[in-house]
Amino acid sequence: MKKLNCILLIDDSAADNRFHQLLIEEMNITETIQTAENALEAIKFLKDESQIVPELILLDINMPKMNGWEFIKEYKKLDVVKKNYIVLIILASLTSPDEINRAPAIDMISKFELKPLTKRKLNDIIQRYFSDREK
Amino acid sequence: MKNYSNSGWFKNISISKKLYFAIGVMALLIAIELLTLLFSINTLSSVRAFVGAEGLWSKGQKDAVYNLRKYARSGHEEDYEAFRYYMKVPLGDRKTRIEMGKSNPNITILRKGFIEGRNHPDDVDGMIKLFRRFHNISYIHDAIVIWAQADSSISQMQKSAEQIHTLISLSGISSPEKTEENLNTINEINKKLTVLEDAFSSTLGEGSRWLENLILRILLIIAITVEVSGLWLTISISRNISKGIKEIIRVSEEVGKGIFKTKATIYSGDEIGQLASSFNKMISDLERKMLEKEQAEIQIKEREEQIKTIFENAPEAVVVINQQEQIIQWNPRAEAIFGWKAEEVTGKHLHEIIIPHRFREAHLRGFKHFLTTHEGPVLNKPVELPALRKDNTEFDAGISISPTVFKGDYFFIGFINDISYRKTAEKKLKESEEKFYSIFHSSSVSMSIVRLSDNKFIEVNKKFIETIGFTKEEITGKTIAELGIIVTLEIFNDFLKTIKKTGATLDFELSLRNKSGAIINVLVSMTVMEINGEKCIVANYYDITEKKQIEVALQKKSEELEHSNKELEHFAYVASHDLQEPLRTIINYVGLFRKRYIEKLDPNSDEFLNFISEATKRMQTLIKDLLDYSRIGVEKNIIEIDCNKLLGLVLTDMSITIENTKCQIKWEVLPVIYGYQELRSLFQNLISNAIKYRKKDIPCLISISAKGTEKEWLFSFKDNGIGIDPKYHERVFIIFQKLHSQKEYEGTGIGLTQCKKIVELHGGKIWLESELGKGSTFYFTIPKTIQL
Repeated sequence: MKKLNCILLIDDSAADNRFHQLLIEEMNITETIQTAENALEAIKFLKDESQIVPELILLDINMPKMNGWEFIKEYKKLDVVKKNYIVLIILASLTSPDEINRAPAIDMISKFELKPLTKRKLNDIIQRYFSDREK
Repeated sequence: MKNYSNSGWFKNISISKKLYFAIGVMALLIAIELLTLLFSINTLSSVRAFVGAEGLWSKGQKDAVYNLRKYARSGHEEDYEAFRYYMKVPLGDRKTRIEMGKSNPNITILRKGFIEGRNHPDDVDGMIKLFRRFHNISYIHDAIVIWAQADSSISQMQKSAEQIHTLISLSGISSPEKTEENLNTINEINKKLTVLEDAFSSTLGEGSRWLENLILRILLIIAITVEVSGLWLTISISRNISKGIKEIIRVSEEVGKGIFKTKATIYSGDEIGQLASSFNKMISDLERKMLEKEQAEIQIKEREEQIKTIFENAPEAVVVINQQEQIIQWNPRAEAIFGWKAEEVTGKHLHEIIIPHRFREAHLRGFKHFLTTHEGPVLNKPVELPALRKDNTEFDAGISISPTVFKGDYFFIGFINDISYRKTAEKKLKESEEKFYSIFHSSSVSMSIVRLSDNKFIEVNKKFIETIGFTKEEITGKTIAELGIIVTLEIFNDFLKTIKKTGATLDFELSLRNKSGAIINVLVSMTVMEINGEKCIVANYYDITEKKQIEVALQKKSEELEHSNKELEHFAYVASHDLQEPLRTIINYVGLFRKRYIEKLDPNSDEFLNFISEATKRMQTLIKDLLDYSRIGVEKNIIEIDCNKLLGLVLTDMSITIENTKCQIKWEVLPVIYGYQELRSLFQNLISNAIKYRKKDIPCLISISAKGTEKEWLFSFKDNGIGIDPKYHERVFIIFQKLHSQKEYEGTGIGLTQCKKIVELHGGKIWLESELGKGSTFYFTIPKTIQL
């Protein structure tokens, strides 16, 4: 399996971002890891033509300024060539069942995962969404 | 009595006493006149005696001088003895004069002296009295002075006489020159004495004339006084008597004319005055009796009119007949009932006028029967009989007849009423009762009728029998207590007391027990009504057993809810308390770990440990905030809060922050309101938010104000901070919702959630007006009356 080019982590918790980063680095599945501590920053990054386009985005929901759902609304508006190749996965704390039910209704979202992120969860994601991207 | 009591006691004594008094005064004055006369005669007699005494004195002295001369020539001792004999007279008088000059003279010496002066013993006392009484009168005084001078001359003469006697005794008449010399001296003295004797007589004479004059005047004055006072007394007494009598005559003439208001003036307290006073009393008695008579006449007249009015306006027909069964009285009501005018029926026989033909014979029989036996079965009690009108129609009459005897003859007073309307009313009442019973029995609500006097059931309806389970026979005639269907009899008895007082009660709850023992909850309404002439309680029982069951269920649920709320509170407490424990353990051991092993680990470990301890601290804060939040409104005490003082306390708490950030806080005078103590947290949160989200480049300014409307207070906290985008205005009040990352602004995102809870606890609202970059104003309201 080929390594991914870039994974984008969007989470307001520096601790969580760092933890995820270390886990992903340990698994050695990507060339680069980008982190954004709020969704606005992430939108800005995605809009920036000069920046690398991530293949996998792990998105937190409960964030100040712009939460996960608001990010998805903005994300939809983005005119990103490779947007169709981006896998958007929600990685959130346990929230209300209402919120969990909201996720499948949005076609942009591939999967809803609960924190904490584990090697197994990451492997599943890679297996499921990137196994066909051989070369 | 008053009009004369002040005008002197004399007026008030009796006439006889007045006359005695007048005569007494006269007699007294005459006695005084006589005494004065006696005194003056005595005095004048004494003056005469004094003049006589002077004569004796002068004669003694002259005879003494003669005998002394004779002795000087003859030298015979008997001549000298004669001289001494005559000298006794002036010397005796001298003794009295000297004794008289003493302050307390001896009467014996006085008398002896005067008697030696050859005065008559009868005159002596008068002379002494005159001397003593009048020695201060100038005439007497002068006379006494002259007398004293004469006495001193007598002493000189005595001395010269003794020298002559000594000379002659020793040498006889051989030296006539010396004797002559002594005789000359005596002659000189003799001459002087003659002058003094004349002066004495003339002085006394003058005194006696003055005295005569004085006495004459006194007597004259007394005589005049006697005349004048006698005359005055007579006039005044006779005048008073005639004045009083004239007054009585005047008043009796007026009374004779029928004027009773007049009164005799009482001028004195004597018999005339008493007569006037008795006369006045008689007049007023007479007047009172006349008035009483008049009033009695008026009363009789009024009573007559009253009786007439009663008779004329009596609501019943009043008909009086005499022993001959003739109508003698027929009042207007009788006219109205029967259609006959009084003048048409007076003198006619009663049975011809009002008794229907078929009863006339029986009536007459009964009338005669009474007159012979004095027995009347229809007398003295109300009876109902048919009666005849003028138009020959009959009606039901309520009649009551009383026989009475007046001057030996029987009279019959009949009170008659048309009672046909009453019969109709009775019929209507019966119908209405029947209607009531029909409703009563067909009612779908349980109903009962209980007699008020003994609380016994008279009637119950079908529904009542169904509900209670007893048969009608088992129920009627028993009291509620006897039946045993009331669970709480005391409460029911209270209701009975109330209804007896007020006449009705509405919807009180009662638990009944039916025959099988099941409890039925009912709402009872009771009314007191008159049924068949008895006061009864009509009660209806509305079955609320089911409703009651629902209420109980609701109550149970509400208790459960309260219980679960309490559990929740307990949970929050336990959670916050027990969750803190492991967190503290983590912090402690992370610290320990870092201290001991950091050197031995790779560079990442420091970062990891930081993440751990920061997350733990954050957890602690979250739990603490959550606990605070859950506690809002636990203490349900509404207190009076002076918001100015409250703000002062909050600002003191935050003084370090305010100083460090150089925030300026302004406020208008805030009201004193009623609220919970959590208001302090509200103020603190709003101010600390304003400071926290200030703009870094301009000075922070916060202004606080409040204004009252009719029902609530509106507070506003305005700042010039970073502001909030309107799309987030609602989100800021949601728990743990933050618009900024932890890095930008620390905090758990619970502050405004707390604010909202506190405001809502008071029953108020909280909201904000703000735009990004333009500052924020938080508003909240606190009702003036807080609902618990």
